[in-house]
Amino acid sequence: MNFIDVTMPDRYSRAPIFFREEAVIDQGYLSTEDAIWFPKTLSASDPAAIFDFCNKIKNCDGVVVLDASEFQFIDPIGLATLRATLDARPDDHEMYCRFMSNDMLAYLIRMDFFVGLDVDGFDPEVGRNPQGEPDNCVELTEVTNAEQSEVVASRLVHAMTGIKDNPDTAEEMEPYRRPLEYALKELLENALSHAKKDGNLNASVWVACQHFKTHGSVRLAIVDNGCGFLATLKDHAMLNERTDLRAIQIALIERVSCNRGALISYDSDSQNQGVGLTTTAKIAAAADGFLVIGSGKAWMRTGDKGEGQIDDCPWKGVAIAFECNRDLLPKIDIPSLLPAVEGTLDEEINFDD
Amino acid sequence: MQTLISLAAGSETVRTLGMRASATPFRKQIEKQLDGGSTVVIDFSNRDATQSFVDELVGDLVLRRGRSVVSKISFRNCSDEVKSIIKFVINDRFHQLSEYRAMA
Repeated sequence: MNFIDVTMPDRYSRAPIFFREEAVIDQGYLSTEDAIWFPKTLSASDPAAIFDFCNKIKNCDGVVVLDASEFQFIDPIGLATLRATLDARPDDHEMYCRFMSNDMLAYLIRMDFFVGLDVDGFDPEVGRNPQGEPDNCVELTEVTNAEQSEVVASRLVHAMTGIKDNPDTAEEMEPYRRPLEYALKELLENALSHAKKDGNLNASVWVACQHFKTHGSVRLAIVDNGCGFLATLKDHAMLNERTDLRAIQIALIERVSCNRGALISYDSDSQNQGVGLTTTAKIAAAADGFLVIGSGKAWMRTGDKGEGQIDDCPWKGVAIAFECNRDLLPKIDIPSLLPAVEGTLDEEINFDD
Repeated sequence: MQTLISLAAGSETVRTLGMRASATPFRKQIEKQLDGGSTVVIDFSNRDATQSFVDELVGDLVLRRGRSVVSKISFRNCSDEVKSIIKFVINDRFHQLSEYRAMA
């Protein structure tokens, strides 16, 4: 990926801090009108814009030129979806990005967006903060296997709640950590277990988190480029309409699962109870938040039930954004969010206190 | 004979046990001990856990071995939240098993 003409002193007031290395850059890329424009924001507030932008990149066969002159804001779901898109492009396909502001570039560097990408035009190590930024943003992370995911997810939540850099605050932050770690791990479990189905053995899962101090919201994002909800639930009895939107809708119904059944071999395909995603949605709702879920040709938002079709820019896989009010996390009682079940065996369960 | 299986091993950073892949090796230890005739005490070491982890740990045991397995396992050092999740998982899987048996 090549960053060209990183700074535009006549458009942005901050002094340039990155220096373009001497390289032969085709100046035509600076002026081409065939550039793909970054939208102003890539965030959960406009999921269609994210998928539209990523789809244009994905479908461009030749050299991709991105224009970031209007680009002002990106949140975890934007980061994770864009990175998953770039990751899927062949290594030998060139990409240029022009006119990105220093502020946006610095933010992407802090979020480790470029780790693993071959980048020219600036030094991605300049401005990186290896210690992360506690209680603010947490770097974009690729999770490649289930064994690694337990520790990775815990680390992300600890960094986001400030526990990582200030262990003395662990007890104080416990009411915030607990529901966030629960939600992140349930979403990650779903992504890891479903993404690689249907022959998608090379599917990847990207995770990003951020605490926006200015308005007190916490945003998590889990994005995979696997088979998507429709493929996962294709044989489910409740899928009365074979559309991506219907698949997302029934995935949010308690106990709807692709593999809930006594005959499934759990050594090869672990059964689940079909409550992970629904419980996570309830955690978000309990903290005055919501999920945004995109898969295939549709997206929907819990809470206000916003939804949309993205027929022209489908997302292959599942992209989930979790957003909530951080201050309301301590009041969440997770067991009360699980489906009601008759406690027939309560007296037989032994707690050795 | 009673066997203790502690979930404390692993990174100190992990406060909530969440992934099924983390539960699977513990479940296999539990199964091995049960098959050998032991009862099992599962020590959560005051760690939190998600429903998915607990389901992988013991929910499938209930599905495969039935109600009787519940009397052969006990749980130690569980928070009230984890106790509630354990109760949910075990009861939910028991009811699922009962439904399947009723249909058979």
